[in-house]
Amino acid sequence: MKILLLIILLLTSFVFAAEEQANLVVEKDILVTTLPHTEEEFTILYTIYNVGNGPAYDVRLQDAENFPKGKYSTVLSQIDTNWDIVEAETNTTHAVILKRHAVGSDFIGPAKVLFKNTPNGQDITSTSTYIGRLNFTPKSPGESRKSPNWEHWIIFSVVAALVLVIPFLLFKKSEKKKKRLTMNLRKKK
Amino acid sequence: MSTKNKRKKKQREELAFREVERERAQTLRLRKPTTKQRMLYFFVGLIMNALPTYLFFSIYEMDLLKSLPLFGFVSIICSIILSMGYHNVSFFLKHRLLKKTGVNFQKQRTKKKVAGGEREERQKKQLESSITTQAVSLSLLYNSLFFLVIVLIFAFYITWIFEAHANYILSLAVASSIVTYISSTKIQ
Repeated sequence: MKILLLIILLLTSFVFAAEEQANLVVEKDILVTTLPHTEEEFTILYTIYNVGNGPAYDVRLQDAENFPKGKYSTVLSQIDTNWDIVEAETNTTHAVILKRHAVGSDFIGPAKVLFKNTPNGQDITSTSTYIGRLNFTPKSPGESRKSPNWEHWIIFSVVAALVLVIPFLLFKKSEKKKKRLTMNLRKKK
Repeated sequence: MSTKNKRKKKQREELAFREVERERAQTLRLRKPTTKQRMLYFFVGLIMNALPTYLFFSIYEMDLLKSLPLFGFVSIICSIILSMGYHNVSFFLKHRLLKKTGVNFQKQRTKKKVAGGEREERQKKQLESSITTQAVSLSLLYNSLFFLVIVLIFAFYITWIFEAHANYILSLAVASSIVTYISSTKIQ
């Protein structure tokens, strides 16, 4: 009896082990160092991890609802996209650059990811993480003034120094000549 | 006082007055810049105006193509104002340096030819030209540095509250006006 139960258990484990299933974990992130303003570009990065033991087929990312066309416009790439297959124990990413036009506050909710375990199987839905509430304010005139802008200042300093060095060198050269000529003329007196 | 002495005194006064008038006329003539000098001052002024323009379109993010007419117009006007300042300071410095040398630059009016006179005149001309170069280069250095400092102070600490275009016009116009005004007080 016991041996029969063990054999049945072993057989079922083999059956379950043979059944490959995809398991998608989706991360949604905003790549900014400071909160974006209106008319300022920001990047949304989607990372899809397949932590299951089988490939995910016909993977579709849908997130256009969180970024309605009237308020947002895409600068680069598109929000909704799809992949034919995401292999097991791999990940894939998708980035989109957006811009918001109007001042206001939005709750950026989770994105929806649909996929199948087999090419002709049923759709399975997975949801991503969410970003949360974002306040979009207009950029104030002093905003860019406060940021370091090191590269611009370095370029400005180098060019200004070059432009100012030339008259200085001319001055030094003419001073030497002046001293020599003055001494010659005074000697003659 | 006898009439003879009075006449002599009057003649001396007239001569002195004519001498002063001649010097004044020569000074006024020298006060005008030559065409070469005008072009040099204007060119340097344009370069000096281009430097803060770069800061405005990089830090204040002014659209370069859309603001190009504004940049061009303001740069030209401010360069003209700056060039007046450059000439004022170089004129003042030239006279100061000429006095400091202790050499008499006035041409000898004697009919007799002095030995080695031509060589001396040539050396005086060379000395005068080197003093002119010195005065012009010092004026360019001093005024340019002064202009840049005032522009940066205005653009980033005083007029930054205004919109970028207004900030640009105000900071450049005020800086070039201040530089030219202060340079004109030196020659009065």
